[in-house]
Amino acid sequence: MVNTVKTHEHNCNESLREIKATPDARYHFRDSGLPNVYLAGIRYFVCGVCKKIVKVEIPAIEELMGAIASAIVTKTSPMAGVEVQFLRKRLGIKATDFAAMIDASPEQLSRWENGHNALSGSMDRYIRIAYTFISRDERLRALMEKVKHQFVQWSTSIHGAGANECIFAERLHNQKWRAEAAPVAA
Amino acid sequence: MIETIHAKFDHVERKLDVNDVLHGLRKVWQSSSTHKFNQYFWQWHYAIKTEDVEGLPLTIVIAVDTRNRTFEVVTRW
Repeated sequence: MVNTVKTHEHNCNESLREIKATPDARYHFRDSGLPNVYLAGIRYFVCGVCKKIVKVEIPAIEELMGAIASAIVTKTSPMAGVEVQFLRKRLGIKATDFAAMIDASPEQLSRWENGHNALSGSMDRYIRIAYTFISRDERLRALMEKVKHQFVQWSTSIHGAGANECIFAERLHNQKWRAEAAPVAA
Repeated sequence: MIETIHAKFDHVERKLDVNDVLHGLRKVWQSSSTHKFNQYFWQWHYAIKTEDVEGLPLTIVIAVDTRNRTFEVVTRW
């Protein structure tokens, strides 16, 4: 039985307890590839004995990943390296191909993605714009169209602060995902 | 999509995440002949051979729930 989790003396699948993630009790979505994504409006299951998370149920995962990417592209703080990697992987482009596309060496891209070097402001903007056009994300492109006249203002609002941010995604009553970058509460 | 704890945490050394799994499923993939029937959950498990975003071989084992129209990623490596 491949997906039966057995830990020492018990079988976790025999004592599952369902938990609904809420805005007050969020689910930490580590498997997104980002360390700071939290979800509400989903169900997950913990073992009643050892309290480990056994299963996570995420509906409309493609839409969620798109919403997270939109939140990264539209946030006003600089992108972190893992966020660049998230956008690249979302586009399904290999690191070597992406480095060539943005006129950087693979080593340079690796240092950005691993957080060893910071992105320049212009490269940050370039990657966001490249993602918007390559992804064909209609929601993002519609948003860009809507705020085209504010583009310069948005572009220049990207600044050096915002280290303590998380991305919060919530499943709304209309079954859509909404995600945004928000400061971490003290 | 549902993921088990095995899928989420047992192959962290490759840094595979949801983007790799979705990329692998979107590509043209091959179904491995090693299907298994899980009597505990009364469902078939299918092994899918594909690639991650970096082009490296990726195997994804899924369990399909036809009644609820969902599939569960059992594991990936």
